[in-house]
This record gives sequence, C-alpha cells and structure tokens, in this order.
Amino acid sequence: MTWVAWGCLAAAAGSLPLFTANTYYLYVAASVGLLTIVTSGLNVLVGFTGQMSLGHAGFYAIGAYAAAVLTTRVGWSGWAAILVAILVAALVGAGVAGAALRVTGPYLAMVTIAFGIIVEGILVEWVSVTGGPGGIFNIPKPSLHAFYWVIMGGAAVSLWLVANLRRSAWGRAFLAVKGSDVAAESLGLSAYYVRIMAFTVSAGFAGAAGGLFALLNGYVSPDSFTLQTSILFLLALLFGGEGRVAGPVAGSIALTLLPEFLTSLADFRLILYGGLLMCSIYWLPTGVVGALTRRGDSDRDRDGDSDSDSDRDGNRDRDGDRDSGGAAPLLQVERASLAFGGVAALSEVTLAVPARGIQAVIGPNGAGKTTLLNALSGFYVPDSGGIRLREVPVAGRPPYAIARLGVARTFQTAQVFGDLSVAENVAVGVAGPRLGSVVAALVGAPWTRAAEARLRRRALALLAEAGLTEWVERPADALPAGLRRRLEIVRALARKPRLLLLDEPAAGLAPAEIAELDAYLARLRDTGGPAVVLVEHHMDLVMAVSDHITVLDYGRVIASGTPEAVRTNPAVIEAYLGVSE
Amino acid sequence: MSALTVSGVTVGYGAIQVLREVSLTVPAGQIVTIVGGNGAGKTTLLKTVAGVLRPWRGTVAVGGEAIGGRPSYWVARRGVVLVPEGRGIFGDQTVRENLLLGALARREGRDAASVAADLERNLTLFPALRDRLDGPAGGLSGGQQQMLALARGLMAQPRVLLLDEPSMGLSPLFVRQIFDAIGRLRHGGLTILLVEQMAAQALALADYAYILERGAITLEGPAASVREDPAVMHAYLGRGDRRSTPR
Amino acid sequence: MIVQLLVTGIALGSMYGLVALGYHITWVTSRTMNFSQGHAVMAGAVVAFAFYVGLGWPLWAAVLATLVILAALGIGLERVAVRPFFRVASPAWLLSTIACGIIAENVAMLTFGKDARAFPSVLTQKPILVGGAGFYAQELLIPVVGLLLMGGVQLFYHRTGYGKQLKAVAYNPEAAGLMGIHIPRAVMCAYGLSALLAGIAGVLLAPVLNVAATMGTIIGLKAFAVAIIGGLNSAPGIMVAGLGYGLVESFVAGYLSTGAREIIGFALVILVLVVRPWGLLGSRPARRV
Repeated sequence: MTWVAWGCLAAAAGSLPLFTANTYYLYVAASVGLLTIVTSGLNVLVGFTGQMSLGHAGFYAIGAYAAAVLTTRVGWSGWAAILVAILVAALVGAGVAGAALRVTGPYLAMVTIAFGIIVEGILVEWVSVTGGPGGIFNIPKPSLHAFYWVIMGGAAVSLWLVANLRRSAWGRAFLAVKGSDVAAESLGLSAYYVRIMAFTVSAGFAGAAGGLFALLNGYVSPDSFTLQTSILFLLALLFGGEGRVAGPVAGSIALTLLPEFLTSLADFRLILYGGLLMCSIYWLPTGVVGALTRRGDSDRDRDGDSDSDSDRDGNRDRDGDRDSGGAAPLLQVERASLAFGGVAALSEVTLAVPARGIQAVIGPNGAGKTTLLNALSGFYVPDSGGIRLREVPVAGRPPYAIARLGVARTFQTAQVFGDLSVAENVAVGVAGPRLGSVVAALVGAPWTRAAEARLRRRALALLAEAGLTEWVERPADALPAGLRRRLEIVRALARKPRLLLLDEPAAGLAPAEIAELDAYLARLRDTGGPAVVLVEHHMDLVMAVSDHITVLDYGRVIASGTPEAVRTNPAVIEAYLGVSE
Repeated sequence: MSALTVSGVTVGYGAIQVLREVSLTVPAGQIVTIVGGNGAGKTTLLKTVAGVLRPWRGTVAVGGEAIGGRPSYWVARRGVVLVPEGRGIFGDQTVRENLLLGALARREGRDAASVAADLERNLTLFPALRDRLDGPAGGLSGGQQQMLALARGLMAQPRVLLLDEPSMGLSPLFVRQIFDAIGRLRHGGLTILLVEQMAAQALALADYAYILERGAITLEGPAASVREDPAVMHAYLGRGDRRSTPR
Repeated sequence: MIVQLLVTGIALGSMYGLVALGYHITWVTSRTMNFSQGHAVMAGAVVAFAFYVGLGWPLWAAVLATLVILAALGIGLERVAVRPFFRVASPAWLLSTIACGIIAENVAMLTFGKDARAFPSVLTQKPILVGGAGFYAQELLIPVVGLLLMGGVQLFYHRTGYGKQLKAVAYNPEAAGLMGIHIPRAVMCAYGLSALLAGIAGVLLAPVLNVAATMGTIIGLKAFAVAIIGGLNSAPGIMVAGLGYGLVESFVAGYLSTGAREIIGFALVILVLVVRPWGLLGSRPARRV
C-alpha cells in the first residue's frame, strides 16, 4: 500500500479518540487493532510460508490467560504480563509446530485443530488455574482511552515488524520454502525448521494480542477461544489478502466492523458470516489488498545503498574455500545401491568425482541417473554402500546438511521461487542457511541491513554476469522456461559450492540455447568454478563439454572414461547410442 | 481418418496471451509437426485442441465437426487424443490398469475381447511394458512412462493423435524407438500432430511442418523444404548433425 | 460396565468411521473434502426428525427421503463450494465448505430450534440385558451397518472399473480428463456418496444421541481426526482408527470424565501423528524431486 494510504489509516486511527468519547467506538476500534496483530502473525505463517493453522485461537488463549493469571494471582504489571504471554505462546507454538509441521495439507490442519480443542478443553477443566467455564475476572484494566493507544501502537508495530521480516533473509527463506521446499533444501535451508520458526513467530503475535485482549476486557472466559475464533482469524487474513503486509489490516477492519453493522440480524449472523466467507473466496481470491494492487510492487523495497566496494567479502570466501586440487577425489561413491519397491535403481555404483572438471553421467532412461543425483544431494538414501564428500561420509544426511557441505544442484523441472523476484531468488542462494536472528530481522537491526546490502550487491553482480539484469526485479515465475533454468544455475552457484550437480540442464532448450550452455559450462570450468556432475541426454553437449563420462544402464556402471573412449565402446553403443547412420 | 483444422486460434492463461491467430491443418492420415523453442506456445496449442484450454477466439474442428471450447473428456471421446508433456500416467495404479483406462474413450470395440486384442498389439509395439504389466506405473523410468503414455493413448483408438514432445528426457536410443513407432502409426492411417523440440528428427519424419515462434506461425511448408530453410537450419538445427548419433 | 462401554465405544466408533469414509471418498477422488461433513450428519438427523416426528411419516419413508435429500445436498455442495476451486487447483474449497457448514448450522437453528430433542425409535425403547449390562438394539445395529458400508466402499474403489476411474481423477485430474473420464460427474458422485454416508450416520445416531442443530461440529471434527489418523487414502485404516477412537472415548468418559474425553482424544490424535505422520495406514505423498 502506498504511503498515502498508510498515512490516512494512521490518521484515522490516531484521531478517533479526539472525535468521540464514546467508549464503544473506541472498543470496536481496539478490537480491530487486536485482530490486526493476530492476523499479521498469521500472515507470516500462512501468507509467507504457505502453511495453515485452524488452531490459533489456542495461542490467543494462552496469551490471554497467561496475562490474566499473572496480573490477578501473581500481581505483576500489565507490561510484564504481556511480555511473558508472548514468550509462553511462542514456546508452545514451537512445540506444536514441531509436531504439526512434519506433515502438510489436511494432516497439518488436523494437528492445529486438535491443539485448539485441547486448549479449549483445558481452559474449561483446569478450574484451579483457569477458573473453569467462568473464567478469570477482575483483571486490572487500564483506562480505555490510554489503552487504546497501546493497542493501536501494538498493531502498528506488528505491521512494521512483518514488513521488516519480509525484506530480510528470513522473509525470503519463508517464501522460498513455500515456493519449492525441495529447492530450498538444496540451498542449505531446513524446510522443517524454517516452518517451525514461522509458526513460532505467528504464535508469539497471537499471544501478544491475547494478553492485550485480557487487559482490554478485564476478564477472560473459554467462550472467546473456540474453533470459530480460529476460523475468524484465518478468514480475516484471507479476506484481506495473505502474503501482503497490508492484508491483515483490511481484513481486520472488515471483519470487525461488519458484525457491528449487522447486530439487528443477530440470528442470521452465522449465515452472513458464512456468506461473506463464500463471497470473498469467489471474488477476492487474493484478498481485498490483492484485488486493489497489482502483483510485484509495494512490498519489495529497493535497498538504495550504493557502496562502491567491490565484492571484497566474496573474493575472500572463494579463496578460503578453494580446494588445493590434490589427488584425492572430491566425491567418492562406493558401491551404492538403492532399490524402489523391489526394482534396483542403483546397483553397486562406484564413481569418483575430482575437485575440478566436468563429469557427465549418461545412460538410457531407467538407468538411474537422476536417482544417483538425488542420492548425492541427499534426497534419497542408499540402501547400502557409501558416499563420501572429501572423506566425510554423507549418505543418509538430510539434503540441507549436504548442501551446507558445499553441494549445489539444479532440478529436472526448474524450481524457482515464484513469489520472490529474480534478485531475491539469487539472494536466497547467496545467504543459504545463514539467516541471522529472526528477532533482528523483525526489528530491522542495523547489522541486518548492512548484511542485506551486501547480499543484494552480490546477487546483482551474479545476475549481471549471467545476462539477467533486465529481469532482476520481476517475479521469478514471469521468466520464460529457458531463463528459469539459468536462474536456477546462478542461484546454485551463488552458494559457492564445491560441487555442482546439474540434472538435464539442456532439457527443453533449443539447439542455439544448448550451444550457449555448452560455452557457459566450459567457461565455468576454465575460470576455477566448482566440480560439475552433469546428467544429460543431449549427446552433443555431453561430448563437447565433459572431461569424463560415466555410463549407467539398469542402475549399473557399464562404462567409464573419456568421451572418445565411451563413444566407441560397443556396450555403450548397444545400450544407448544406437546404431550410427 | 479425419483431418484436423485449427483456425485463427488465440488463447492464453489468465491474462497472459500465448497464441495469436494460429491456423494450421493436419490432412487426414498425415504427420504434421510443429517446431518451436521454449515458450513458443506449442503445448498451449495442443492443450487447446485437446480441450484442456478454451480458445479465446478461433475454431478447432476434426473431420468437419467443431470441437473447440468443449471439455477434454468430450474431445477425447470424439477420438482426439493427447499424449501430454509430462506423460500424465497414474502412478498409483498398475501399467495394465493405466492401459485399460486409456481404452475408456473408445467409440467402438469397447467389449473386453477387442480391448484385450488392442492391448496385445500395443505391448508388441512397446515390449518394455510387457514385463512390468502388473507393477506400479509410478515405478517406471521416464522413457518407459513415455512409452506407456503413448500406448495408453493408442488404446483409445484415436482418429487424431496429438503428441507433446515425446522425446523429452529420453535417451537417444529411446528417441529413435519412439520415432520409429510413430512412423509406423502413420502407416496405419492415423492423423498425427507432433510437437517437438528435436527439430531434426521431427522434420525427417513429418510430411508438413510449421514453425511456431512466440505464439505465431512464422513459417510453414512441406517438411523437406522447411528443413532446408536457412533460418530454420540456423535456429533449430544448430550446428547440424556433427556426429551420426541421433540427438 | 466394561461391556457397556465396549458396546457404546464400538457403536460410536463405527459411526465416526462411516463419516470419516466420506472424507476419504472425496479426498481419493478429488483431493478435496467437505470440511463440514459433521454438519451433513446433523442434517441427516434433523431432516429425518422433520419427516418422522414432524410430518408423521412412517420410518422407512422418512429415512428414504432423508437419504435422497442428503445426496442432493452433497451434490449441491460440490457444485457451489468445490467445483469452482477444484478446476483451478485452489485450496479455497477448505474454507468454502466450512462456510457452507456454518450456514447450514444457522439454518437448522432457525428451523429446528436451538434445543436438543429426542428421536423416538423402537430400537431404543427397551434395553437388552446381557450379563448385567444394558444396551439398546440400535447400538448393535450401528456397527453392523457401518462395517458393511465401509467394506462396500472399499470394494468399489479398488475392484470396480468406475472406482479406478475415480482414483485416476484424484491422482491427476487433467490426465484423467484426457482419458475421457467425465471429471465433473466423478467428483459429483463422490460428494453425493459422501453426504449419503453422513446422512446414514445421522439417522443411525439420532436415537442414541439427541438431535440438535449444533451436534454436527464436534462429530465432524472427530470423524476428521479418525480419517487423518487412519490415513486419508486408506479405508481399512480409517475403519480401524474409527473403532479405536470410539473405544478410547468411551472408556475415558466412563472412567475419567466427559470433560477429559475431548482433551485426551485429541491429544492422542496429535501423538499418533507425531509417531506416524501420514496416519496409521496412510502413505506419504510421493515427493517428486
């Protein structure tokens, strides 16, 4: 949203107490503020990270009851109580996330629903602490006029925090995991932990709102924290527009004010509620904010630092990482075997990849080439045999761990992060698992900004080298297919890997583009780039560019040697190359 | 035997237009190929003919009967069968079950005996499938899945067969086998529209060719003369066949 | 007492399983589901009540009318709340079916009223006494019907041609269309069948629980939990999970308290999912790399 719109909104919120002393209006506006806080946090989970929660009323409840108990039973001040509310909600959130985020889709929805119901049940049953169905009364209530400012301030802070987050490495990590968790893992990010962090953050926001809710009302009871409440949160977010910083505001305003206008129709409340939900789903699939703004603008801020330092840090890292070459192979695969449902995909495959040069792996379909690549990058685990990266056994480690050891890859279908711009895609590669503290990201700490500037410079430099400068700010899914693959390679190289695995990079390219790829790979090799393992079918490319070729057939190595040797090998000709014309 | 006519088709996804006033004809019993680079709109064109996409403007007709804008299951039952890019096989069912599902769209010979006979015929055409008949289709390799997809398409006894990049991701030997199989189909009187990136192979096989670039036809003609066109040679045939190995 | 709890548990459990099958059927056909399946159960009970008690129809006629109406509602729901999103592969069906459920509950409250009412039935008038424990014939009928239906559905999907077509639609709707499978009709059938099962559950449960406009939500949630822990794509898993859940609920309510019932039940659901994330007999969706 433009600054004008934000300004008007702030003015309206700020001036309300000046125009009316009617506490009811202030209360309604404060409710909007509370809902904005919750939905901002939910936005991080649902909008950014693509997960779902139908149990956030549970965290709201935890925040509210924590504040209630601390102020009434223990006598703490409101501020301290709210702080604790946030921490407790976030902690529980991390725990729930650990259980919930091992699954997706309906399974995830179920765990969150179950959590919400359990919390509701506990609120009713654990009478000694929660006061049972009656709840907790006599929570010290600040004056509404004063507290109104606190809540509005809280809402403004929430939006600001989320905006900061979006611009940070964490924000990109969330969107990357949403876009393609496989690609995110191949860049060193653990999708599981990234999602847990998103969940935790969203729980913390809900807890904060809950604490404020308790203080605003002066009492809490289980009725306010039902499944319907969780659905309301989600509806407000989706109606307003998830993935956009402003979405929660629009949704919160709409969903708080609408029932107010329809109090005379209280009996039909649910029907209207359901009807509103249906309408917003049909006609506003990207929410109100999405419908009002075009894609790709607003939330991405250009960092204007024009630091003229050349890529000092980059060069230093590269020198530090450079292998001394040496005789020991970079990657050693020893008699790796892997079967799927009784069919052997890899059978005693042995392969050595030196620290320099381009190795090709070719073979008929079903030979096991992509399986091998997936095993090397950690997506499959061999049933037997070993894989050693610089003498370190890696078979069985998760993909993000192997990525962090210096292995990068591309995929048969280019996996770009559609919600991020081209530059942001590469920035994810540059940063890899180094995301910094999420709290620093939320508040936009100065050192985070400096790091951001460096990341961006490096990303832009890499994109310039690859000829993608004109696409830099466009969303990655606007790229045509051939350029997507190029982006994928640039992003993988941004990791400064020791080993680059390319899975059929020429698939779907026209012959002229294949020639370009050929030249690019050769340049990469000649200018000190990583070792490359290339799985390919296009024989021209393979013959022209490889130093060494391994041929697989039915999961076994049937030939291994220089391109010339392989090309004239009768077993290879029979299995794969066919008869020459 | 039926001819396929596409006339003035303009279509896209959402707000993005992909094809502009595309017109082409596939005469009955011939193989016509469309060659083009990435993003040219080849798959979009086939999807529009097959009913997966509804054209914004223009018509599609088979044997004189309009099929444009009808849903895919209707078009399939009219004998226009698409073997999609990405194959679209049902990985959780067996190879046999996949093939039998292909027979659903047949207009004639729906009795068990005819279907079994056709199954046999297709397994002869693609022997690699025979061993894996009762195994999960998801366990097949890419090339085998391509063969399954093609065999399954044939089970529908199509009048017009649409092939979307059958060579994609296949090793040279498999590519050869697939193209041989396609050639043999032509002799059976099938009308075939073949979309390909492997220009050399496609142009060698086809009777007539169209070049599709950025959503529009830029060149057309008998395949042999398109092959000789200097612009085509440069853009699509690259450095030419340096080696005698098939691409 | 144990026998009593056992019977109640099995009866309830088989109903959860039956309703859960509704989730399974639509999921296996279209990768969508009616998130308000519980409200369909409520609709079954309420509509049957309206015909039997309200209009005084004979029981068999009331039940038949209920089933027809429920099937129609299921088809209508698919048309309005699912089809628009299924076509574009949007996850919005989740919320749109929830919305329809919310609306249904409100309509029921306005027409049926907010109070619970008893559903008279011959099978719940005289308890059968066995070894000191008494239970209603209805409670014995329920599991039998439930298990028979579940077995039938299973056979349908894996042995019949049409069932395999429906499976293809779930796996890849676009490719299934290319095979000539009538997609909209397949999804419609799935939803009709799913609502029908919910309706049957509603009719069977009405005499045992009481009929109320609000009875749907929690039943739907528990059935969903059963579908999840059984494994969404495994009907046998769902049958087992249903019985298991029913028994656990019954015994917890019997030996601890009804309040603890929900807490422990759902806590167990989370536990199962931690140990077996895709359900007891479900399978992880293949990760395409």
